Amino acid sequence: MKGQDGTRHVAQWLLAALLVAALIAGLVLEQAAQLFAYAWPLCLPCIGIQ
Amino acid sequence: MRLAGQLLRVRRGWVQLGAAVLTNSYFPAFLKHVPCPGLNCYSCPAAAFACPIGGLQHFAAARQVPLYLGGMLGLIGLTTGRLTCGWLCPFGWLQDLAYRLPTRKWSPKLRLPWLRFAILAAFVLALPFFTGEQWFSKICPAGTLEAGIPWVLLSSEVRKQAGGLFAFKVGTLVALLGWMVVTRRPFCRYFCPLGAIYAMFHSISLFRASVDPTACDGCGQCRKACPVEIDPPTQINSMECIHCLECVRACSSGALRVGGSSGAPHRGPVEVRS
Repeated sequence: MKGQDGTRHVAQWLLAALLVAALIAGLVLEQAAQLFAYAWPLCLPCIGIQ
Repeated sequence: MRLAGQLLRVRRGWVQLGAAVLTNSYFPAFLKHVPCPGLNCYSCPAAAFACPIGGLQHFAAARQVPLYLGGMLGLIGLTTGRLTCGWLCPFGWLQDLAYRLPTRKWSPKLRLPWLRFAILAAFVLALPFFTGEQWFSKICPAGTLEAGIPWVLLSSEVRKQAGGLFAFKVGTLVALLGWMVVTRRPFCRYFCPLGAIYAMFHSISLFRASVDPTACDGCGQCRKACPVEIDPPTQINSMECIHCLECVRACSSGALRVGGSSGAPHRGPVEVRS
């Protein structure tokens, strides 16, 4: 059990570091602004307009 | 795990109500830089956040790696697994409410745990990537309910443009709403691509539940309480579990609990007392 826990903790930390790096890289590339531009004002297919 | 202890003390329905209000309280538009953790259409007239699935489709259609969205959704999944599905998703809450209606219930035996992943891969990533169109949005029932119907009612311009796709979406929504009344959380169990994303992190998430097989008396109360109809003693950290903790509340023997050193699922048979 301890071995399993240790492996999981290592995987969690590695994955967390990778995800934080991806998040920061996305912010640097202004993807948050892109998300805003996409999400404003309306998504036509969501509403049901072709 | 202090948070977990607090979660068990509050009523889940109130948290779900609060989350639905918060995500649809039309804060200033700058919050649309931020994806909503649950499934909530950003085109809803009251939406405060961006839709994560819509955002993923947008980046796939633009042929860009969604680093920001992927990082944020991944971190939510890594910290809490599918806790969002159980506690924060407005569409999940709607399904919980619909199932409370007193009618005959139906529990489908067929489980298709891969279907959510297929929908994520095909409708959210591959089809938008190759065609440049947002295919999941064309079938998304949350979009129809929270954006399509309100906008058709509110705007004559939108009403004029609503045609065959809108009719198809409304038909799909009506069918799904009917299914929600008789079956627990059918959208979460079979179709939700956001649940599929969180499910990928669920088995290694920091927030965990665990089972003590020696304390389990096989009463079956956890199974009756589970809104996704899994077997908590063997599947409590599986990809289908939404960490609503209803099983932990229902467990009178104390075998199920939040936290625990490994949270490893109990693999042995658990007999249900008749």
